[in-house]
Amino acid sequence: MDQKNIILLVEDNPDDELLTLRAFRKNNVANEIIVTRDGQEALDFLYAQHAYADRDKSLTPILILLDLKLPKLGGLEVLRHIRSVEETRRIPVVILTTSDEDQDLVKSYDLGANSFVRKPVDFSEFMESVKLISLYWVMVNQPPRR
Amino acid sequence: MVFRTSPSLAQGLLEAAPDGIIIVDAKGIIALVNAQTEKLFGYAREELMGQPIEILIPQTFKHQHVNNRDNYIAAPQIRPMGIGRELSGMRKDGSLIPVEISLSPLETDTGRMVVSIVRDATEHLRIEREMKDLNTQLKQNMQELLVSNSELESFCYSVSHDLRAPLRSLDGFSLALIEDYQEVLDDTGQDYLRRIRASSQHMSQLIDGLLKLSRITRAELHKEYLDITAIARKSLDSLAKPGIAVRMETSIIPRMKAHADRDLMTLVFDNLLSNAIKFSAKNANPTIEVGVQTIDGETVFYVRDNGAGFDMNFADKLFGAFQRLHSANEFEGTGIGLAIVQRVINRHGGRLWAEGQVGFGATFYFTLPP
Repeated sequence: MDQKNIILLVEDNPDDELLTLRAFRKNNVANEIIVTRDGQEALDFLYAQHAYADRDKSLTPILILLDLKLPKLGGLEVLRHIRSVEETRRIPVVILTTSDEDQDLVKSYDLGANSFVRKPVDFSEFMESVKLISLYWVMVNQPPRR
Repeated sequence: MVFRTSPSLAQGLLEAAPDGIIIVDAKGIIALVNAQTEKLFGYAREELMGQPIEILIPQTFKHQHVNNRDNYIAAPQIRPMGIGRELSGMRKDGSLIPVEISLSPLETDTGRMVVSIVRDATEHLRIEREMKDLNTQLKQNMQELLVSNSELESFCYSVSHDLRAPLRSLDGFSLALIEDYQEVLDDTGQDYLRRIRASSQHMSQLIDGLLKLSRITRAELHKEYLDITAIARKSLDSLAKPGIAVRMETSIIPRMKAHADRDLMTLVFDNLLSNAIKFSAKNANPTIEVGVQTIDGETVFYVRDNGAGFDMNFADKLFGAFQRLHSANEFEGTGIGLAIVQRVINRHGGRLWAEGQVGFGATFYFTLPP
């Protein structure tokens, strides 16, 4: 498992978490995937605070998959925060959400999301989306490192 | 015909005037009144002549009126009196009457005088008050509508998130079971899971349909002068798939125009034409027509196909949301298309109806008021 190039998945729904992880596995994505289940936990992980205080902070994720509807801190708030801190503001963020409301789409891009993907109900379609996301953002795209 | 200002004519004009006319001198003494003044205030003119004008002013304003009068006579202009204030006059019996008054100066050889025209404002006031009440009611209704609209917005927003999530789990884990536990599941088991998947996908389409329908109700209408022929053509071109287009005969009457919202009309034709295509796909020679005709002096647009048609006995069920006149085996669909068309036409103030015959096709008519 690639423990250096980690992917951060921010997802509160345990079913969606399981299905997303399964999709990554089925597509042979070797990167370690860290799952945080609410907005605050995501920030705690990124900035190595509270429960994640012992984390090696130099390991910044190469990709963040962010759901919008999260308990505690919402996805858009997390995004706003990430983009306002120097050490995280360039990390590619892919919004992965059920919403197809225009307001969410526009706000996400306004706040600096790199991509907006709508979770389809059809799971095979979802698998296809995950495959394409991992292919592009993990294999093709160059993360903004060093 | 030339009017000469003979005294009798002038007198006639005065007495015939529909408003009260009062002439006072520089000291506010009534010099002349007409018949309407007598009527409005309930005095005989002999009782008014030589009296100060304040005799016609309600008690509370008498004092102020004297000051106003002095100011006016010093610098008189033609103007309405007391702009923006509700004025009252006092009748002989002490009752008050709402009035509108306009003043103008009159220079005579005996000195400066003031002509005042007095109009009974009772009716005017009543209408004004009615309008104010209606306005208040309207504002209240608007407010309630805005609240209800915004509640609808958040409802739809929740629906798009909350209802879809469990559906994805249903679909996802069914597929996961089929894929990962093949050896343990027999054919029947796998079939059951496939049905679960199909159901959740169908439900997702239903939710999408409902959301689309509610969006049409919420959307703002931007009416413009449209080329209906072009919209129908564009819709047809995007719908017709390669195989079918070759077999299908289409005709669209050229240069059709209407005053309507572009996006919503595109939606209307997308739905009506996709239905026409769908229900005539099994036909040997599918024909689709889009046109306009005049019925009883009204401009009526229509979309006609020669496909499966429908039983006119069930015509009233056509436009209900999710109502279908054919089984899913015969023709796929959720039954939301016509409900959407209905709502768009309704929002434009038009009418939508259909005629059909089983096996011979269907025609959908709609009007768009100018």
